[in-house]
Amino acid sequence: MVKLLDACTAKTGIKIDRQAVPYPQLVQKVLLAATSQSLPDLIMMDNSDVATLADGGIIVPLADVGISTDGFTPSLVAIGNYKGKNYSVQTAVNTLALWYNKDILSAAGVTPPTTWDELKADAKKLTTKDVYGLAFPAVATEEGTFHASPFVWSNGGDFQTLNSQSNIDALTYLAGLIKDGSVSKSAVTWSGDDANDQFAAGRAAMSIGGSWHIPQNSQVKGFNYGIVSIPTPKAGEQVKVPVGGEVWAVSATADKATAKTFVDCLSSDDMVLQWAIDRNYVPGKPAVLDKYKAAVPTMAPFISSTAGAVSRTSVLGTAYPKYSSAFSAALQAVLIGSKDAKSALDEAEAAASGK
Amino acid sequence: MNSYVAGHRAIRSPAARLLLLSVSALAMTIPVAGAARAASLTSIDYFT
Repeated sequence: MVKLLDACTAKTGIKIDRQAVPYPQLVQKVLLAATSQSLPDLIMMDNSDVATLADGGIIVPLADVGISTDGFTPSLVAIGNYKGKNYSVQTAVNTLALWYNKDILSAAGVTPPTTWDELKADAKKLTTKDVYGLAFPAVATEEGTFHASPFVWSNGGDFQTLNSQSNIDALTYLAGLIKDGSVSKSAVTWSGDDANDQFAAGRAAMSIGGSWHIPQNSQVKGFNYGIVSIPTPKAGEQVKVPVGGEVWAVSATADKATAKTFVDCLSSDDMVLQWAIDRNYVPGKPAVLDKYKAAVPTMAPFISSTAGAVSRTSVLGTAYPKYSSAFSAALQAVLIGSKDAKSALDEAEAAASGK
Repeated sequence: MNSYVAGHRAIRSPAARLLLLSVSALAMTIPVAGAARAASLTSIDYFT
């Protein structure tokens, strides 16, 4: 981050007085600053927080500042939308893919699965006394929802109507993997890092994990892993994935011209490329993808997956956390077998919508 | 800018024009001061 800001200061002559806070404190800190008329000019936040700050008038539409998102992948630009206006620039994104242990799959004569049927069959085949076929995090937080969302969206579901048949089928499918014994029941307690730890330790043959695990996994001695797109319900479909990562937004009290100059620098091709390389993110600009692929070939599956990027919050906006929370509670209930998918999601829908 | 120039030309009194020129000169300093202030920005970001 410092490297990026310094580079743009050198290019624009604009100095940045930077404050960095722990993630859970950021939105609270910004809201507090708004009440005391001391908002920072630029805010870098998780993309799921855009709706909250846009709704509160803390950040302004990019068009009001004169910032253009031309040149960025349209589906990634849409992540910054709230009520029809774009509020943020996401120069690069992270997302999920299917990681697999090449040695384990090779020994079992299994090639990486591409469909749900293959994933189910392969996970079962790869499961032994010491190794689960698949690991995924299903903790009862946004992380659980985030990691289950490719299965929901790729099956035609969404988080606006929690008890749709597509969602019921997706949760039933995930629960089936645990019922088969192919996924540990402990998945309901696992965060993303926990699931990756299982995978990196050789206790799971495959794992649903993010691009941010590359630095850690590449350091594990003798760990021969591969990465492919998450399987889809049917062959040849584009997987739908959530995209995470940070976005830049301009506060309501910022000097617009200066903010625009600096954000334009952050959004320039060379800065986007460098940021993506440094963070193991997928760059948001197609113009730099070829250079990026050459620099970081392991990111190829993540790049192809972002063609199906879906925004978590552009439709539900500030209501998203409520729906996500209800969904993750339902996910847990279904995975531990205390409820069937329909009952759990009916309850989740009622809790989230208040109907 | 165009409407300002038009209004300026419409003022015939030398005293009024002098006053307007003073105000105009003052106004011209504001963007310069603004630009000097705007050479820095505050930002907030997060770490996990």
